Amino acid sequence: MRQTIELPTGHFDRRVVKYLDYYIVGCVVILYLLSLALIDSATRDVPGHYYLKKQGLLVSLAAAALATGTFINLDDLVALGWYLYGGNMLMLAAVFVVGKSVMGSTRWISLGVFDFQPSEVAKLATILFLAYMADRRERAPRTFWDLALFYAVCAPPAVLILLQPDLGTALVLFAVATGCLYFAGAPEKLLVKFLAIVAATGVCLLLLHFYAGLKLPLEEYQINRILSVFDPQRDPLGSRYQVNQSMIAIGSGTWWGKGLAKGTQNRLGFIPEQHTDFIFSVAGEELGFTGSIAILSCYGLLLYRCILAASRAPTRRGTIVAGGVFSMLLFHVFVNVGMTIGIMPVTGVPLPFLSYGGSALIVNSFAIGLVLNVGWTRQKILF
Amino acid sequence: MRRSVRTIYQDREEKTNLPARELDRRRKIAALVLFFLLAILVGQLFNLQVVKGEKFLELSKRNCLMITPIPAPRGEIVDRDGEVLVTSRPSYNVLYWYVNPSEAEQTLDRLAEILGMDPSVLQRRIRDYSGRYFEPILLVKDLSPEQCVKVAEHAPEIPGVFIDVQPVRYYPGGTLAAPVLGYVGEISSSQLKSERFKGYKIGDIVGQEGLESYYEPYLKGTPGGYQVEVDYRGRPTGNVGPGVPPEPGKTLVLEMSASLQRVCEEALTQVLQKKPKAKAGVAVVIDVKTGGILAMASVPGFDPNRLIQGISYRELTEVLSTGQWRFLNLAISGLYPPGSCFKVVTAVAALQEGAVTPGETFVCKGYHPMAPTLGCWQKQGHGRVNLEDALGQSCNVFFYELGRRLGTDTIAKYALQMGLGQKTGVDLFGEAMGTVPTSAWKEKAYSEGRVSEPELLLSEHMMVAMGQVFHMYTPLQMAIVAQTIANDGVRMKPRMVKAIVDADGRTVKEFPPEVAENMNLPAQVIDEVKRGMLKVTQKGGTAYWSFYDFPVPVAGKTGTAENPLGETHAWFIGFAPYESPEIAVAVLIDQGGGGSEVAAPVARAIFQEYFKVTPLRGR
Repeated sequence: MRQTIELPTGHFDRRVVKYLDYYIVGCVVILYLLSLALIDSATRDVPGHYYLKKQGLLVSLAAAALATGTFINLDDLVALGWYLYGGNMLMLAAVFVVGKSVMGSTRWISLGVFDFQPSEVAKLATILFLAYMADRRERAPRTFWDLALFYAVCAPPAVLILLQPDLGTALVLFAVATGCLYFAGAPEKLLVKFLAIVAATGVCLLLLHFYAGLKLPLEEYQINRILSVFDPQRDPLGSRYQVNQSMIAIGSGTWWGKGLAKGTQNRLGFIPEQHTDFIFSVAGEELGFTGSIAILSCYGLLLYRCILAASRAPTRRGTIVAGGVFSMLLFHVFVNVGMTIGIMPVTGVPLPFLSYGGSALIVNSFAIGLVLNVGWTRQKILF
Repeated sequence: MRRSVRTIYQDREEKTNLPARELDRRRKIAALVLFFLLAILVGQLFNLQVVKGEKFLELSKRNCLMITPIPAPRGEIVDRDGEVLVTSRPSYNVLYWYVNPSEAEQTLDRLAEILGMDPSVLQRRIRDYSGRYFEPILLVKDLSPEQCVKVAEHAPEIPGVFIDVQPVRYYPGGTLAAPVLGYVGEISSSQLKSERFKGYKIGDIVGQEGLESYYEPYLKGTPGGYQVEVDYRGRPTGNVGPGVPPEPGKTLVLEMSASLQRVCEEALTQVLQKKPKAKAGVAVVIDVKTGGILAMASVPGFDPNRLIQGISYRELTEVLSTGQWRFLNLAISGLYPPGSCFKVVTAVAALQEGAVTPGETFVCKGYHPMAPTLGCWQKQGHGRVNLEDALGQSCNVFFYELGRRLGTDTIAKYALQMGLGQKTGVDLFGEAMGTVPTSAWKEKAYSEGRVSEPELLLSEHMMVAMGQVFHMYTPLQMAIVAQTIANDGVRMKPRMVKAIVDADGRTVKEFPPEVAENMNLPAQVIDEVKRGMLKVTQKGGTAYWSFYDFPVPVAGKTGTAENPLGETHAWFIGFAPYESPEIAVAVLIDQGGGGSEVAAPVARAIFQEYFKVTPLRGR
């Protein structure tokens, strides 16, 4: 018996116009435009607005990805199941073979025009696979072992990502699994208990590392970055330098900011990675407290609409996909913004939609497209 | 039979979602988590941007703003007629932004070619700056105008190279008055530590000697500065913030007359050429009424311009060891026995104390009857002489007798009143005090083991009176003696600087003449001494051959001071015109020989210049 893969199809439906969540669309459009402005501001020293042009191209691709996500047949997509998982693992493994290294991390596969980052796709693939898994089961995950199974499924891609090394994205998978489980109906007490156990284990491992010399599958700099959040004196010239400069940048924005392209911290290169992971510091410096709050509000609204879509989804897989996307984006926003303002460790987690980076932008847009998809398809056709 | 995944999947029953109520509850909890996490972010943002915002704004400014000082032009020094003695000239330096090492090699090779230099010299300069590449590297100092043009012409081929103009101290007169004017140089580490140079920093150029040093606070001015924006590597971005213009240093207007100074130096140089054994020549010319120093020459001096341009250690040791250069201003720091010039002090003391009357005579047989070993320079003796004759002919025996009558301590009293053995208070650093011998001094010298007995011997009392033992004075002090007598016993405080004016020509500070001490001498005392000094330049006087044809009557006194180490020191002190003195002069030739032969002609040259007398004797 041979099986063939049937690729998901999609179609335009007039319901879209009526039931599309325009809040989400509006937020995403605002974030798109903001990304163009901030990335251009952060890369003023590169001649010819190179990054602006490239981001412009990427935004149009991302809009197409968003539309695709909106109209794709989500059921078909989720039905790919193990193929998604296997493909995902293959891509992650391929990074080690043909990957491209930037600053000590091997995360990219060069596709000529732009570099493709499989770990970004892995996040969404994991969401979809978890939705598939939950859907395959008769009942919602209820026992400890149910939960353990969901987390265990995320472990292989997470390990591959951790080896790149990319601690942040590996943790995203963990967050995604938690979000999916929650919206799949996992008992809250059990989930909290599970999270507490994981957190306690993490702390114990770190303690063992320092006091008993336990070898962790983490680079020393990653451990330093985590600890420097609690101990700013640690590693003052390494990641903490970035964070300090970022905090100076954001703090110096005060109420109204210095104005676009007028931030001295940004313009004079005091913040490393200012157009990618530290883009929020540019926003904080140049748009001030008001601008930062506006951006966070934008994310807040966007994320709330994701929860809303999840809670109203017609199918279990729809709920889980929307919930997974919510947890993925929330983790990104909190960890990234938290990192720029010194309350989270420096990990390579970009800020959704705003950070420069094609893979993340397109995948996140597609993910939001799926949430929109879940939103509009809940409505029955009424004639 | 083919079955697609989709078919399998869709065959299955649609799994029921959670109940709507449960989903709604979970929505609320998730929203709560979302709100809670965002609230943490907002809280920290509020803390950073609003609560600590101003502090971070200040930090961000400090991050990117660097104060670049604009050096203040150093003040000039001009003579009494406005002739510029010290000024600043622009110096063109080649600087280089060392940014790209691969590009640098090519650029430096090209630059070396343009300037006709060895490229390795430039590369060494780059290496010297290792670790300081955020600042421009000084490659070549003080370009010639031709080199400047060449560098400018080839600018496109040498990216990163630029020419910077810096003021450099310039002494138009070269060696003229160099020991008095001093020179400038980088502040030394010991100077940096001293209270006087508070606020200075490494690399600052400060006055090192002479007037440059004494009037440093006025000459240096106040540097300005502007804020330069720098990037994270500390490199200027070209955005210049508000600046404060520098306040130029003040100009010193000297009492000195450059022409008189030049004549002094020329005359002294000629003497030194004629007398190869002579070590140095010093001349001081003082305005009798004001104490202003019209000339102060110490030859040999040095060329400050060569010091500024940078002189190698070898060259420097060479010019110093061969005696071509001398940094010391001997007029204030050189201590010499005054010889017979001191007789004018003894004469004043004796007349004032009543130890001798103007008409009183004494027979000089070539030695003093109470101390036959103490001879007169005129072996056969001067015969019967009064005070005036004794001064004019410099009779030792007459003054032995005065010394015997007065005693050393009484003479010392007058010596001190005339400014000897103490700092004159001239506006220069490094003044020596000298020694006026007294019985207390001898006792102290004995306790230190410098003399063989604690009391002054009779012969010593006698010799002190004619200036031969223990006395040590500077040429300036001796010039002050002449000035005091010329000014009827009113000693003035000598001054180099007449006024300090700012860049706009406004007088900032004036130095009015200051009386140091009024000896309150009766007219008959002073007139008697003056008459004696006039006889020096008249027929029979020791300086007659220098002044016999001089149209302005000159009063003076020659001196030939014994020097146990070598040739005698030649002295001349005097003033002119005799009737109403205008200037007082002291000339010393270190190991020059006899005062009348060597020192008096220099004084004549000075008077000749001052009174604009046409030379009559073909010199």
